Formats: sequence, structure tokens, C-alpha cells
Amino acid sequence: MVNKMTTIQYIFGFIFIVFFQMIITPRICIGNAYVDMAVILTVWVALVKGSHTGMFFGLGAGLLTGVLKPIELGWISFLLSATGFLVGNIKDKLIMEPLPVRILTLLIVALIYNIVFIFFTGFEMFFRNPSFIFSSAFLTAAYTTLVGAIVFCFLRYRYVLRNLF
Amino acid sequence: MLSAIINFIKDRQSLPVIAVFVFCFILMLLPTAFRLSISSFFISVVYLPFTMFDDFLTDVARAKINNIELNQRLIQYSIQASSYVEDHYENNRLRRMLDFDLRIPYRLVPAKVIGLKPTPHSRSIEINAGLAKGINVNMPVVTADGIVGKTITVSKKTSIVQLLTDHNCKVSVIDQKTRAMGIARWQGGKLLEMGDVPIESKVAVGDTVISSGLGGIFPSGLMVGVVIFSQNREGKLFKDVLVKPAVDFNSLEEVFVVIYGQ
Repeated sequence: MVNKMTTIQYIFGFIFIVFFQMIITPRICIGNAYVDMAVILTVWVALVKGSHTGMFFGLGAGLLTGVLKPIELGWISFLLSATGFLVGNIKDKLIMEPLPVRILTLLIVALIYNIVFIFFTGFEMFFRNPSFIFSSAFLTAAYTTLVGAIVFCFLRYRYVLRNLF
Repeated sequence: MLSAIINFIKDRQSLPVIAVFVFCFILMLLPTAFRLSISSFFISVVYLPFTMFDDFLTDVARAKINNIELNQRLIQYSIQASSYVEDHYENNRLRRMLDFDLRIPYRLVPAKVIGLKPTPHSRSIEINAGLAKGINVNMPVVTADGIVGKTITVSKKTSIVQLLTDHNCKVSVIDQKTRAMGIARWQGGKLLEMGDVPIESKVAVGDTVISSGLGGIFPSGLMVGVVIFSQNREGKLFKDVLVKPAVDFNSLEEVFVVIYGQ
């Protein structure tokens, strides 16, 4: 039931990512911490559909959100597709079905993603002020996971919700 | 490790993965100007609805902030405006008083009304001028409009003024037009009765009534009011004349005590 994701749902997911990154994210920033919807949905798709779908979804999400930051376009696409691919591989090897496990995975992935992203895109700053980088990466990861948990719950129980309303 | 990588590359299922990562590396190597042009195309064309919605939300948020600021300014300006109106009225009142001051040949002591003491039997006000300013008992008190009353009790710094609308306050008056004389006194309500006006006099509605100067308290020529009723009654020696006082006794703020004969 959960694995039935159609092309329309993927397109809707991409539109939602762009909408969220352009409209919502700048408005709900808390200091340096922001929510990365591209990471949330890439992790979800990879956990549901596996490595290849996760990778392509990550590539699409990376390209669509990368054009908003053209300097980092290649890095965002690469890291998101790599995230999709690696999470999908982990999903194939481990039992990732329980929701808390998925949320924990999201936290770890978001943290690593942020640190690696800053390492590659802001190499000098990474070594100049590492504590600041780690703290902001952790806060962003935590904030992303918080919102991601809500999104995951919604996606997991969307059929139940649909029947309710 | 090397063999694992070789096996991964040889695996047909790895082909899309390699393609994707190669594509990403090509993106990284693209000239910045090219990437910027792609970005500007997407933002201005493909993401136009999002951009417009974002601008709309930004405008709404800005409008909300501006609205709060403008409301604050509006309140400030309305407070200022009301204070200006108050100043305007005060200015007009004082200007009229100044003109009045220049017109009459008496010394005027300005005073502010600091208390109202209306009772059924007596009507008086308290002013902030007394012996220290040369005020004595039975001195006329006026405004630019006309006679207010006379001082009846004087202390060092304050005085009690018996208003014209007091039973015990009487003023010798004269009709400015017909020169008919009489005594103005309050008979209740908002009007003064002009008594002792001979029946043959031609006092008419609209005539101005001023002080005659015969009573010994009020100097001649001070405005008392306007005749609004004049009638002869059969078998009576005097006319029934009612005068509307020139002074509004309900809105007294500043008055002058007239000092003359010193």
C-alpha cells in the first residue's frame, strides 16, 4: 500500500519541495537552523522504494533546489542523489520499517548531509570555525528531523487520515 | 576494495548510479556563468508562480508591518491634532480677550476658574486670583463676551465670584438702542429678567442690553445679553423683558477681574 507511488506523486513531491524551499523555509528559519525538505522527502522515498528510486528522486530534488543556489548546484545534486542511494542501500540490508527508526535515520542522514555539504561548499569556513559549523549543522539536522517526523507520520498514516475525513 | 569497485562498475545495475554521479560531476564543472543563467531561467520562468507567491507573501508581511507603524503614527497625529485644536480654541479665546483688554479703560486681572459651586440657592465659581493680585470684594468679573458676576469673598490667592445667574446678583442695565433702563436679575432657568422697564419704553426683541454703571459695582458699557422677549401686560406698570446672557456660564475657563477707580 505504502510502496504504491505513482509518477504524479513524484511530481507532486518535487513541486512540494520547491514550494517549501522557496516559500516556507526562509520564513521558519530559527537562527542558522533551517528545514531541508529535499532531504526529508529523499530519505522517505529511498526508505520506501529503495536505492535507485531514492537516488533519482534525490537527483531531481537536487536539481530543482540547486537552481536556487546555482554555485552549489552540482554539489546539492550529488549529495542528495548519494543520500538517496545510500539510504536505499541501508534499507535493503536493515529493517527500517518502524517509524522511530526512519526518524532516527533521518536525523543521522541530515546531520551527515549538512556537515559534508558545508565541508565541500565552505571548505575554509569549516576549518576556521568548526564548532560553529557543527552546532549549526546539528541544529539544522534537528530542526529538519522535527519537521520530517511530522511529514513521515503524515505519509505513513495518510490513508488512515483520508478514511477519517 | 579495488575488486569490489570493479565488480560494482561491471554490474549492469550500477550503470544508472555511475551515470547520475558523472552527471553531477559535470554539473560541478560547468562554468559559473552558465549555472547562473540556468538558475535565472528557472527562477524567472519555471518558478514564476512560486516567485510571485513569495513576493505576494513578502508584500503582505511588509504591508502588515507598515500598517502597524502607520496606525501608531495615526494615533500620534490624532493626539497632536486634538491638542492643536485645543490650542487653536485657546488662542482664539485669548486673542478675543486681548482685544477686549485693549478696548476697555480698566485694569483687568486675568484669572483661571478653579472651581464651580452651583447650589440651588447660589451660583458661584472660584478663581485663582485674590488679595495678592489686588482683588477686593464687589469687583466685576467679566469675559470677552460680557459680565460674569462679581467677587463676594476674597482670600489671599483665591476669590469666590457670584455669577449673574445667582438670585442675589443684580445689575443695573440699559437697552443700548432705546436707552431704557432696568435691573437684570436671574429668575431661574437660563434667562435673566430685566425688571423695572417702563411700559412706555420701546424695548424690542434683539436689542442689546449693557451695564448702565449706576449700581456702583459694574462699570457702564459691559455686555449683559440680548433681549429675546418683550411684552406689555395689561394693568402693569413695567414691561416683561427677558434677556439671554451673553456669557455661557457652563464653559467658563478664564475670566478677568475688573479693577477700576484706583
